[in-house]
Amino acid sequence: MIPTPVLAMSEAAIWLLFLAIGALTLTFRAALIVLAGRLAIPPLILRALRFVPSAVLSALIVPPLVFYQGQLHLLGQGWLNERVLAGIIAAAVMWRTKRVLLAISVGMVALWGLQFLIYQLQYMP
Amino acid sequence: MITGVAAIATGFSLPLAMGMTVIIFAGASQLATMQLLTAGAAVAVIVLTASMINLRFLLYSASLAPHFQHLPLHWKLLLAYFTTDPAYGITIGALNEHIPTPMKHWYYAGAAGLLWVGWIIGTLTGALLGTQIPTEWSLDFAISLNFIAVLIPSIRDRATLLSALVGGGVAIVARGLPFNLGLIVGALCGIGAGLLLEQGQRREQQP
Repeated sequence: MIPTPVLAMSEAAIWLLFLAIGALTLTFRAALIVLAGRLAIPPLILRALRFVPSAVLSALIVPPLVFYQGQLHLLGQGWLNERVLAGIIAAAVMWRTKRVLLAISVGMVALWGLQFLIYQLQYMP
Repeated sequence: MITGVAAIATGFSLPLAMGMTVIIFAGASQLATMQLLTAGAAVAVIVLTASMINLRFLLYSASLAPHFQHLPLHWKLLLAYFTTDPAYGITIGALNEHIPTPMKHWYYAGAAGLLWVGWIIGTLTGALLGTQIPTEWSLDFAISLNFIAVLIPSIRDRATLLSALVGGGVAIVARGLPFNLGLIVGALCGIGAGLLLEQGQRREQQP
């Protein structure tokens, strides 16, 4: 069983956090549908928006993958970083097939396989 | 479903987990919110990151706007709320081509509303299953994999690839910054790098 972690914020504060994010998100979703034609977005902003998903998601994913217990492990220092390897495998599957569930499944199986392999190597007689 | 499992693993109650899905209704930004909450990031950084991920909805909003121009405000708001990557991806082709104007909002509400119901059921299933899953399964990794699965299709050409590489690279270097600001710095550098490369490519094309 997963032990219930202690949250740094009160439940009320978390509800407020959701409302703030939700309000901003609905604003982005609704802005141009509601203001159709009455609001022009500068071309530079429209061009920058194209890079938002790739840049933000990458900045979000990469650090927790390569930092293990506060140490930088690009592919491995001593022990290989099974999370980076499994992540690369999942990325390759996604790239070739464009199938989300397949990529996630293969990534999970790859992680379990690598964990098993590392465990075997570590305790080899 | 992953969102539901993650919400319970983050320490959310069931109402909190479901409330998040109904209020925010955007998978990647919900997962980011939980990841940053667990990491103890500052509230402003969480709001900024989660919203930044959802900035792409502005593009969808721009592209959907002409189809819903004739509708009253409450319809516009409802349809806007339903907007997600799959809802936009599935419907935009048909909206642009063969759905007659009086039917457009019904078509979009039907498709996107169905996705909404599926997403709510999935989150609930995940939240109910969440407590039963042993830690040894490393199911938290499914969150990273989910992000990877969303990231890959967003890389479409050299400029978006560069923005991802710079975004991730700078985020590693800037990881020591307080309040998890490294994430924002990385993302902004990535966006800037993509824009610069695109600018350069345009200049080359001009005679």
